[in-house]
Amino acid sequence: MEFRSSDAVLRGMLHMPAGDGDRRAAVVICPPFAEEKKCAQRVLVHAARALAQAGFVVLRFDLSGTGESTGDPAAGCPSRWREDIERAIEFVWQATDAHRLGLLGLRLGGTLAAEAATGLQPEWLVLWEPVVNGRRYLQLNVRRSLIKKMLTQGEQFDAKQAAGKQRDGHEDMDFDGHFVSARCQDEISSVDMLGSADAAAQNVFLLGIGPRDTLSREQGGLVEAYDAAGAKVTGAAVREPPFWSLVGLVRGDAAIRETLAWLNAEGGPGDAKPDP
Amino acid sequence: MADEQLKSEIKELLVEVCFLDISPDEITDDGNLMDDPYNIESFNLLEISVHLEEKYGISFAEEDLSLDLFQSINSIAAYVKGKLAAEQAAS
Repeated sequence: MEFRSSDAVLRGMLHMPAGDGDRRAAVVICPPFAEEKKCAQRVLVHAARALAQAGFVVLRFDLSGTGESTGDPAAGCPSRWREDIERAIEFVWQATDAHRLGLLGLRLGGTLAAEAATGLQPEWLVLWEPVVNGRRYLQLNVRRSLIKKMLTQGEQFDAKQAAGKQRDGHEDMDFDGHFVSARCQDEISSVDMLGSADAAAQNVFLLGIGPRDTLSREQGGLVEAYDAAGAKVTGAAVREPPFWSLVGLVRGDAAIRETLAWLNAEGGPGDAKPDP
Repeated sequence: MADEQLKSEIKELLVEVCFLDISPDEITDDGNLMDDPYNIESFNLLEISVHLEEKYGISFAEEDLSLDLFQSINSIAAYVKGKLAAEQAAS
């Protein structure tokens, strides 16, 4: 399917629930950016299918300037992508019978979903390892890129030169083939979820995904921020490899299972297990 | 912090962060972490650096990145020790 957002045509997949479910609850999946999106693709498809099996209408789509969607990559930035999410929800309302809304965002997609929630007031807001601090996220993307160069170039790798090149007079950045404009960097740098948590979403689920089954200090702080803002928030963590960072056969079963259980507990249409 | 304690903690961190199917005791101090049986990959190195920063309150400088830094437990421990000493001297 496709729909318009400003001057771009956004493309994606609409997963309809099987059987005779009432199809009135929808989840829009907000993807991560750049390499993280590429790595997480398989898990997001798996998650969409599992949610559809649980009775949700699910929309997966590519943000403008990424994937199959059109749009100038140089124009891509969080403010533009928030508009894309709003257009995605309008598409779901027009194309389906759904009138209950959930947003599920992974990494920067989680951050975008949380920001979009302020205007959309979804019934469910699911945040998988959201980017809490934008500056840190940019820093780690630079580091990821340098590590790749280090492993590729071996003995020829000059860290000082490579690091300097990233910062010195190169306003636009290249996250391993993904263009990040200076404007996009500025907008990402200003991300601070701890300072912007609000009670717009009726139910918030923050899921940490990593080597520990406990939330990080930062994530714990985000749960507290949502709680202090008056949101009904649940924090949980699953021990699972960070699938947005690695290439391999990862299904994200633990993350999907926890999310389905929470959605079911918070009034979702039904329950189901991840694909066998 | 004693060297052996630091190395022991780094081994535990590696097993946890990299989801290695071995016990920390099985990691040698000087074994090449990117070879068998550890096979640490690029995405692991990013996660390792992040978790070391969180655990020890240090900051990896991009200019410090090198294959040598991540080669072995010894090299990682030397880097962490150096960063801790530098930050202590600065404070």
